[in-house]
Amino acid sequence: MGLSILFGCADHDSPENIVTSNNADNKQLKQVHFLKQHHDVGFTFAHKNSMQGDYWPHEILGPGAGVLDFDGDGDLDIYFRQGSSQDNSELSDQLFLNQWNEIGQLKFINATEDFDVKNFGYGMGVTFGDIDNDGDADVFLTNFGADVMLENQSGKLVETTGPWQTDEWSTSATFVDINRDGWLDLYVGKYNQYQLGQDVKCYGKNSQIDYCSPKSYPIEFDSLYLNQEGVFVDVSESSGIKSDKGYTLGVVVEDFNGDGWPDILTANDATKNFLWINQQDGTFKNEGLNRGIAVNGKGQMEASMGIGIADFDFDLDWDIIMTHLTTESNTLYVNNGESYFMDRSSITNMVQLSKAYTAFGVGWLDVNNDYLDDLIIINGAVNTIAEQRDRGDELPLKQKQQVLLQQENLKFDELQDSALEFINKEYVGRAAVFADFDNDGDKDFVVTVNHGPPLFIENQSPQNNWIGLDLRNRNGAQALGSVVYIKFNNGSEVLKRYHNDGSYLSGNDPRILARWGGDHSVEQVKINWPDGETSVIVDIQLNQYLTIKQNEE
Amino acid sequence: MKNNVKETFAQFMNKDNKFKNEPLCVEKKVFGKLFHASPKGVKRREALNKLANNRLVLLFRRLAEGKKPEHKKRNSRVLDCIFRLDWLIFNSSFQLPRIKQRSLTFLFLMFFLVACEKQVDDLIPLSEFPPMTSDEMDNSVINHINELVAQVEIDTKQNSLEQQFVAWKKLANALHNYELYGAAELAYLNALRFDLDKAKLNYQLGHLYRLQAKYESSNERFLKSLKLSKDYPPIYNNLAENYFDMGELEPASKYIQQSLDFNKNEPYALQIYGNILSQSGQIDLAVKMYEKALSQQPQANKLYFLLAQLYQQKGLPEMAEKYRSKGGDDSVRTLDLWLSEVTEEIQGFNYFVKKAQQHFNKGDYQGAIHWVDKASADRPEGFTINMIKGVLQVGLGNYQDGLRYFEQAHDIRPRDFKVNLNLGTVYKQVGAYQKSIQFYQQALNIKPNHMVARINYADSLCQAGDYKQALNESTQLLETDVKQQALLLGVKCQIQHKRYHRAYLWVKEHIDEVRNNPAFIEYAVLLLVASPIDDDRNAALALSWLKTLMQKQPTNKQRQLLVMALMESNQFNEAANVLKQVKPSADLYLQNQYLKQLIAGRQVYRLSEF
Repeated sequence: MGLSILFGCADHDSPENIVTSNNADNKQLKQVHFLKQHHDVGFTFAHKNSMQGDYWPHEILGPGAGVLDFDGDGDLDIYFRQGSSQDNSELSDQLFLNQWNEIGQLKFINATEDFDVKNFGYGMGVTFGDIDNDGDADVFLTNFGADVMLENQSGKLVETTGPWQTDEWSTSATFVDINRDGWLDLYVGKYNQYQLGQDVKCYGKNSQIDYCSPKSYPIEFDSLYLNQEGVFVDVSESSGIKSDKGYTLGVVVEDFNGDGWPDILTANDATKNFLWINQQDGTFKNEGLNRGIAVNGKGQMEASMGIGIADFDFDLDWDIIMTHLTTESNTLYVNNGESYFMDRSSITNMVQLSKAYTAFGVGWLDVNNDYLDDLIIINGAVNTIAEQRDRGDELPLKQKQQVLLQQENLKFDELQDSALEFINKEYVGRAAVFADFDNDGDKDFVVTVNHGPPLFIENQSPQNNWIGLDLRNRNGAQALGSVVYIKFNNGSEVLKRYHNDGSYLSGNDPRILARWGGDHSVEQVKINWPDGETSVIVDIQLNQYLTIKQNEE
Repeated sequence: MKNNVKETFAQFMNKDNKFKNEPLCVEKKVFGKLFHASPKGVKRREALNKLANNRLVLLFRRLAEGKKPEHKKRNSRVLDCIFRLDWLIFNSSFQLPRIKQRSLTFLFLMFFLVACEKQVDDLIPLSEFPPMTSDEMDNSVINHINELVAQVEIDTKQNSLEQQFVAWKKLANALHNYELYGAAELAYLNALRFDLDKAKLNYQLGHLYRLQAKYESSNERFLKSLKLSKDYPPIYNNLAENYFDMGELEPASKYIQQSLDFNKNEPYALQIYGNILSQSGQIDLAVKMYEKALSQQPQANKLYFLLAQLYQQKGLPEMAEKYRSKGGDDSVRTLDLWLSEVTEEIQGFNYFVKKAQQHFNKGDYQGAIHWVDKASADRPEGFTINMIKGVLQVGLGNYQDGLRYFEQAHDIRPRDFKVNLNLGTVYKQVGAYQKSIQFYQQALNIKPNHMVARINYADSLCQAGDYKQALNESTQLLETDVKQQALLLGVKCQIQHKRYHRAYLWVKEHIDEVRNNPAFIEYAVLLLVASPIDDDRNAALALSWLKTLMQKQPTNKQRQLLVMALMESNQFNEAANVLKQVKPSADLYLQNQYLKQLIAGRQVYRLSEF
């Protein structure tokens, strides 16, 4: 159905990318996609990981990136984390301003100095949230080392102190209002207790030196900071999140048990994943094992890195994809409707498609306009690939990226297109940051590359029917943690979330997008705000972004 | 010799064990050829009888198979001709002398054999292999690989097909072990060209492909292996897993059920079946399979996790919690040697290894040795075999033999954590503390937070006389899950080095945490009564601790401690009475003679005098 609509009604770019592939039954399928890789958007930046042949563990895990409208011109800019350089010169994070609204083209200019963006430490991830309820998003940077909070003071980023200034290795972080008091709290995932100078030598089975597994160092507890009207307090102990520890790499916040209170899911490397269920009294209980998401369907702990969350099967509950190491496959946890997750990786082809890769960043994105969520998987190894090392590669961890197209039977098929460079050339891929940079109703994405320049991929899906929602709380800040049900007049309904977390080390575009074909229209939009209030909106204009403020609908 | 040809042939075959386990029943083909090649008649039996006695039949096996289908057909035709020719010669009217008849046949066959020897061609040359060594590898690994490569080269030029095959197979196994998959694949393919042991080789190659997620190729190889060896359960297990990973539950189910037909209690197969059932939504059956597997393998954390999840799914949270709480992390273990975690990436081999483990765990060392020998026949120089043999020898008390095997394993994988740990443990056992320290350090370089390794390392340091470092280690371990062991170790080490006061203070500081630990209590009492600090309260405390500790049948050591505590409390008569029940002890300061003197002399006991 999707394909017939596509060919009948397209009034945007023609479907230029049609390739054929063989599925398991050897039938020829037409693979359509609307992705275009740009090489000249203006990213004058390459990540440096400071490698010196010592195989330091922190050098291969970054970097992340995040999107925010820093200059207030209505389009999303991008902030890249930097590592370090071998000669220890001060390489700073980089900020690029999107020129889409100015010139109508996907171009970015470097505004690092204008915004006084500096070297804020060995960069891991970035996330955004309004910590002082002044209506604009502040910036939180996770580091190998002390984390940094940058308060957004009318466009100026000012470093502010807080309990996060410990000498620990942080990875992904997310803002969450755990007690629904209207003040965004902060959950920070932590990895292990490795510090420079404490190097352990690790070797592969052929005795060659290689990067260590996280288990070579003790685990570090995650941190939870409660925001008490602008002042953060470390409640990691009292909240109960120190009752378990894992090598956390990915974090998302969502109400997984449907009680209206935000819960926290962490993707942990080589240890069980955690699902911290909010007990509604300031404490959390880990129910990962009992809800089927701690280990995979074979009972094995996996090296979980990134998290993608979406209702991919349209049954109005959250499903999860987690990315893993080579030989483990990415794991697709399908919600059974009762907040219990079942590993459906094998019957959806996920095992076959992913077992040969180590994946980090991940996100759900419709790339072929069939209104089914496809998967963008960012791959890059963490153990040396012999062939690359033998031919002298500086960083022999390169793998190709993947786009997995969801089929109508809920199975996935890998996109093959020799013309799309980013799925054919190999990179040490890490984060994928999803954002609608050109405000055309579909999300594009940027891929960060360890020790290399980022990749920019535009989604050129035809503009059929779509709605875009930017949700703001009473202060005008992003209402992170909102959940939206979009009901159509043909009886169908979709579930969407408003948050910037997910993927890996990334601060994504939180705006909600819903796209559909056919003649039906939106009947109503129901918004569950983070503080528990609900709004219903019936008059939605199509094919544009609407800003909806709580209590001003 | 009987006239019955079949019996004769069977007799002949029984002389040679090589044919017994040959799944192809090649001998049947050879026999068939023999039978049908000769013209019919009475003389046929005689001719066949004579051939059956001829050692050249051994070579016929290889000839009959041939390397490629076209060779097989060709070889069959040639053999037919030779047999007919032989019969003709034997029955010809030329009436040649018997010896000349046989010689002619022999000549024909030898000619044919020489020609056949050249049939193993199309081998992938070593020059086309990806690099197998690099400068960054350990010398032992480089040497090992180079030796195997050299052996291949020598055997190719000089030796028989069988020796060439063995050389290629050894090289393939080693490369597989070292995760050099590209080269391993080519080596396996070369080994397969010799048409020997094809079942096993196809299985191993299938496993190699599976590791790389090349499912189609993996299945192809497993199926080939299955055709040749239908009664090897691991093939079915692997096929089931492959199909499971591919999302094809029906064939997965079919194969795993066939595996279970061999042994319905095999835990690994039960777990796979449980996974399949769970995916198919048959939760109750899946639970049944997991529980059955768990009854066979009670230490499998995975099964606890799976059962916890499934019971939760069934809406039985109490059962879920029961399993959830049992499936723990394995970061802290006992001080046993690490046999149970020995894994081997080639699962066919692993089947024998696991059987050996099962017997070992039950204390049946002979049974374990039997299975180890089977595994060893497959990979005599492998890392795992040496590890298992080492553990078995140590279990039997043969520490030096155990060390020898562990050292061999260490030569193969010097960076393996388990082998370093085992060497550290056994060297400590035999009193070679410096060596023990060396290996524990290597182990800790690999896993610096392994609690068992750390506590043992501290102990070795103490035994070696490095008191300060041992205490340093023990102190750090007080913040970990092995706190109890660390406390005990700290106390022991201080006593050993006559730091009684420090040990005493150590005990006092931590006594509340270790009240229920008998070993610790005993040491605590010893310190209290031996402390140079005169304190009546210490004696009273020691007595009260001893009373809580001592059962109806107190140990000899506890009686000795009671004697000392009573003396400290000036209860000398009672001390003397208890002393009568004490058996002789080797402990210097607890020797009965000395205690008697003390009681008699009513002196305050000061350990520092010793």
